[in-house]
Amino acid sequence: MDRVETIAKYAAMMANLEYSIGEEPKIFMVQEDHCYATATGADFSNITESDIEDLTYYDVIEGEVLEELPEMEALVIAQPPYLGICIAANREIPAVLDDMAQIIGQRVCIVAHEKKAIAHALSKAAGVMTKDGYVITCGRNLYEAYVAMTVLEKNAEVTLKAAVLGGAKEISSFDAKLMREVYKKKYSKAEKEHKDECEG
Amino acid sequence: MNVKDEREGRELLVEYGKKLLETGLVQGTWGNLSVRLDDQYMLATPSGLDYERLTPEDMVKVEIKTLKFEGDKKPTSEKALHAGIYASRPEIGAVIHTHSKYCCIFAASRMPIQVEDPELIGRLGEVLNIAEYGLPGTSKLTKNTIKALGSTPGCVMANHGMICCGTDMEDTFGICNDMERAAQEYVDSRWERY
Repeated sequence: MDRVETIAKYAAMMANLEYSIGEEPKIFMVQEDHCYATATGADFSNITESDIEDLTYYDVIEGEVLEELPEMEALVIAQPPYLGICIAANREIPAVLDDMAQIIGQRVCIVAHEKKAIAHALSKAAGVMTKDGYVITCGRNLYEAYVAMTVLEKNAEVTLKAAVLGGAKEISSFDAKLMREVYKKKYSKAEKEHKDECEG
Repeated sequence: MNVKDEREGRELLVEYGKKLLETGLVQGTWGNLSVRLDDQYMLATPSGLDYERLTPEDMVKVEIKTLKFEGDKKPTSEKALHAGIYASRPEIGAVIHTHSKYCCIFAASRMPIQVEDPELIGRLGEVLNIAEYGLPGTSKLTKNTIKALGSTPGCVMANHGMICCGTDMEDTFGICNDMERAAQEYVDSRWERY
């Protein structure tokens, strides 16, 4: 699968989610030392080659963030609804489910939409919320970044709606850190190899 | 009820893996399912492969008692949980484990599901227990979950997800949907007031 097909596939998956991903979703992907991104306003349900820009030589915050995170090769930016509620309420999202602890990390914080703050947050977890209302997730490929976005939105909804049951209980710091390390080293390896093989 | 033969079991896992994906009960590679072949063996989904690409050949034959498996693909990391259910409950022919959203609200709150719909109570019982927390893939998780499951069709797993079992895959898939519906009805009817 080539670059355009891969980006188009995940853009379509984002567009087909059961919730809105906002008006300005973006996908960034690094390939062969170039940074590619979907153009502002591109129709995510039908991405074509003309919707993808090479931003390698431009000063773009997200491109610079990827440069700071050499292990990461993809970013997804969106505005899913329950994460939007968390941002508006200035509410960080703790891992209350194992899948978030494994795929994203122990906690997702809210930072200014600036390179340094975003890169720092993404060096600690695979997702971050920005004060201007966006959610950014990253991964070693687009599959990981996409999955991180959906898992994070689910955790946000679960955390908020758990209020009707007395509130969500956080996973202990020790367990969350352990799971994240094990996931990065072992479990996700097969997934990554499989995706790399299929999607380049 | 056991499957007719191994081939049918493999095809069932592919078919119902895709159904779980289509209904949104699992995402990507998350969640796992199995069918009993006989008293000695089960077939389980492999670890780390997504459901949209799975083929019958990807399914892994696992010995229930020893967890030894055949072939070069590893079975789900929760194989011991599946095997434990088959070993302790001879009437069970299929097991599904998911991280479906509404069951996860109960899992994150560490609360049992109170089933309110009379029709669902008839199929699930009034309460679906919550298993105490255990790290994924550990014997603690297996032990806690089998204890909470008891002789019921399903339970919630603290901070993790849900698991259910039935006489065959069709029955188990129905229970999986019913549990998510029961959880959703409970939460949504109260969430509207927030």
